[in-house]
Amino acid sequence: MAEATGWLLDVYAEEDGITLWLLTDDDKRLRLRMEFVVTFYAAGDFSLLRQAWIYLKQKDVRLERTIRRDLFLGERDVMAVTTSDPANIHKLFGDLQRQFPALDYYDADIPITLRFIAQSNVHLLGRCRVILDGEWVQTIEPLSSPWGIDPTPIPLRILTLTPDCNPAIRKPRQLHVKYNQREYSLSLDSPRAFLISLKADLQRLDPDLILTDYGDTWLLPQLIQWSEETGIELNLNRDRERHVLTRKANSYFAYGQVTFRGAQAHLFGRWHIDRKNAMSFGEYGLEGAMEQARVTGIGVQEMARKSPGAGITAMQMLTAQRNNTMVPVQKQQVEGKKTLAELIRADHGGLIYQPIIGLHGNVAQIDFSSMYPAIMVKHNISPETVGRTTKGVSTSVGQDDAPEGLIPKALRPLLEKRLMLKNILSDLDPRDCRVETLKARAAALKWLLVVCFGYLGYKNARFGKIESHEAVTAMSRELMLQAKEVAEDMGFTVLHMYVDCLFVQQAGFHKPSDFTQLMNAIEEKTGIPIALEGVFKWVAFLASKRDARVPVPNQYFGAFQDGSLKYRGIELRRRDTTLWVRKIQLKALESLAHANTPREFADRVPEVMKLVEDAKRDLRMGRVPLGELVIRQRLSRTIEAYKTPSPAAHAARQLQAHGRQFAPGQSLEFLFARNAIGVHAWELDEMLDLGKLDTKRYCRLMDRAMQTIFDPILSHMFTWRLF
Amino acid sequence: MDILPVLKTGKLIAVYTSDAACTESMSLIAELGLRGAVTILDGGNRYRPYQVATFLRRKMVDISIAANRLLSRRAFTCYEMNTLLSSTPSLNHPCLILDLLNTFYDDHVSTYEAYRLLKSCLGQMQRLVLSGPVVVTLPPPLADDRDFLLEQVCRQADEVMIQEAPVCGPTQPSLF
Repeated sequence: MAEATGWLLDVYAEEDGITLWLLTDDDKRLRLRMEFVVTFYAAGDFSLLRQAWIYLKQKDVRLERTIRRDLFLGERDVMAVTTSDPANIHKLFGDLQRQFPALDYYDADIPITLRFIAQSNVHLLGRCRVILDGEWVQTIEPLSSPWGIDPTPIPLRILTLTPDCNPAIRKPRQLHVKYNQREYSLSLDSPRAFLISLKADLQRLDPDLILTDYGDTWLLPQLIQWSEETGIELNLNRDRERHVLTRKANSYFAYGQVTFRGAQAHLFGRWHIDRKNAMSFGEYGLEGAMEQARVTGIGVQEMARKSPGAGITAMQMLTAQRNNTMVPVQKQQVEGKKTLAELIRADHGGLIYQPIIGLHGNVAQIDFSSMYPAIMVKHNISPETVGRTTKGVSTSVGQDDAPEGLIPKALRPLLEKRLMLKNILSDLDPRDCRVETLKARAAALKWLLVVCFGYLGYKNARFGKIESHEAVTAMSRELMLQAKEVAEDMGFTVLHMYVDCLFVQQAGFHKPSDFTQLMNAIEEKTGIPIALEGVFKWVAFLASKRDARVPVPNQYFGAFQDGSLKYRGIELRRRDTTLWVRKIQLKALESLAHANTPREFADRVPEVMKLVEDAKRDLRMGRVPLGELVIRQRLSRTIEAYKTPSPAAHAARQLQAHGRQFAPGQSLEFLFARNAIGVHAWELDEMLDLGKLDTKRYCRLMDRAMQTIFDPILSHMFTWRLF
Repeated sequence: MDILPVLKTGKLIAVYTSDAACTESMSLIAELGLRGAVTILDGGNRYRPYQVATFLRRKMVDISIAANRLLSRRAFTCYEMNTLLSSTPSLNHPCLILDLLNTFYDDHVSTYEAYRLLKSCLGQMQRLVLSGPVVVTLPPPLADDRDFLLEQVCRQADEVMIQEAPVCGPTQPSLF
């Protein structure tokens, strides 16, 4: 028997168990095998279950009648179906479901990594010790916890591959290769020579992670094609018995918009992450994706491409598995009856105050830290604890005295870890080398916490229930009102409240320490941690562009005392704003950030206006690079479905004429042009003649962005006649 | 479109309009609420409680009695719609099912599964019809490949009321 210790990199299903990849302490990559059985359950009408039993008897499975817990229905008589072939459980379940659709199924679609973690307590990317008989794992034990604040860094070998241009626009000529500090380029002119070089590099470097740009949508499919054409065998997997796993592109509707997800290429034994097809990679990078994989139990390749919601679902599944609760394939729990008045009272979101329009000096922004998850944990809000009738009384919020619900149980360690990371970050010097990594990990956890509330009400959430969703918002509104009352009792003016943050002001209060007493009082009253985001030298709350008397709650900008800016809802934050407008608006705000008071803000207006005039002159003289004028918009439907085509749809039609295909949710770039359709697709081979650029339209966009900045003071000073 | 006069026990009425008869059904709910209890099952987030309250206020000062008779539940998936219908008791008061098919167009659910669930839902509706009138509102199908679901509901209905979307007259194109 041999023993090895190291980091668990990957787990996947095989026909006779599972494969594990271990990065050992002596820098070896071990492919290990382990016997592993998986079980799913069926419940329902007994006569149907008997038929299903007879149907399954012909298959290679073990059947058992047992009692298991459903979160909502309690103990249920179920048929347990156990197979030693985890790779084919989906087929087995699919066949059974087609034959017996009226049965309720549980635990049938739990990812293999979660089953493994629930059984062994060894988490992905965690340290573990294995006792081996050849390549077969006899025992495996965890040496670390996913909730550890300072995990031992994994000595990953990372190979980065990036083409010299976007393959969707033009054919790449070179592939840039980066490994450690070394960088070089491989020519793509001859596929044969290129494949031989790349194959040699892969064998020599044996990377754990291949990090690419356009790897999913172009590079890996292209490599497979060239390999077939040239006859040069190139297996990108470390597991030689596997082929690259490809998934098709798709469009789906989520968070109120159609999103396009490109094709995917997954590897076995090593990871492949396409930075251009990884959902939030730009925000928290590899460290964040690894942190999410660590706490959710979903593999790094999957987690990098999936939404945080998938991570939260996985955490709930893992908690359910550990608590012997079955995970339903289809949630059947429905909303309880509500009268008209009850519905009107319950069906609300977070509290949003109408801000006081204008420019305000010395304003503190205080935020509840992870408010919604904190409410869920503190008040035990979970689908099974909310809306239950106890002693003849229906509870509309969580039952504090009930056993801890599944959702709070899943969230508590996550919430605690994020708060600890935030505390560590606040104590560190910003120049400390650990800051970037900790920030990325905290951001990754933050996103999981952000979506966990939505998943209480999300239609496809396994453990969602609309009443628990409503209970969280009801509690948040109550807490915000409590915070407001505390602030007003202490003499503060509340300028604005937005879901989980308050903007307060009091004459003579301008240092962060001036607000400590208030924060302590709010925390004591509400029981939810609160933090000072900062004290603004000045902050502007904006009015509606249509009606100057109506404030817009989610649009504001301001400068903190250290000169840093915070802006929400303005052009600078919008993805469809051109880089040129964003740059000038940011420069304008940076200039205004030197002002220490609202009065000084007004003094700086002429300087900013000159900046804008110079920018416009540069535009008219053709001195602005066209790349900075590109507009990026998303297609919300198929091109044919547009009755009145948007500029993006016009650009898509231009490209369609050149053979490009578009799916709903895909973004595309264009310039505003003085031609029949008003746009010029950026991806077209022919460049736009500078004389055809619609400079007037760009100037209008600039004016609008500047109007946003100046409105708070100009409405009081003089009419808008500056441009 | 006046639905009220044709309501009677044993009758399943399907109302097909471009917006699932949003305003008409809210007005109908308010009218029925003045007379007695109503069950509202919402499959497409079509229930507008404020609009119903406004309609009620036009008829009475204190709307609390009528408001307490309007009992609603929402379904967010077709599985939930099936569970909603099967858990709704047969009572001798009207039942309104708003945008019944919305959740059946979900592309996460296979066409066969949507068909199977709708069949089950229609069975439950037949049960409800025996004790009180049932009104189903239906907008145009969201997915072309599932328009047979709409046909299936209309086939089972005792009366189908259709209101075509108003056709816009020719407009003068602008010169500039």
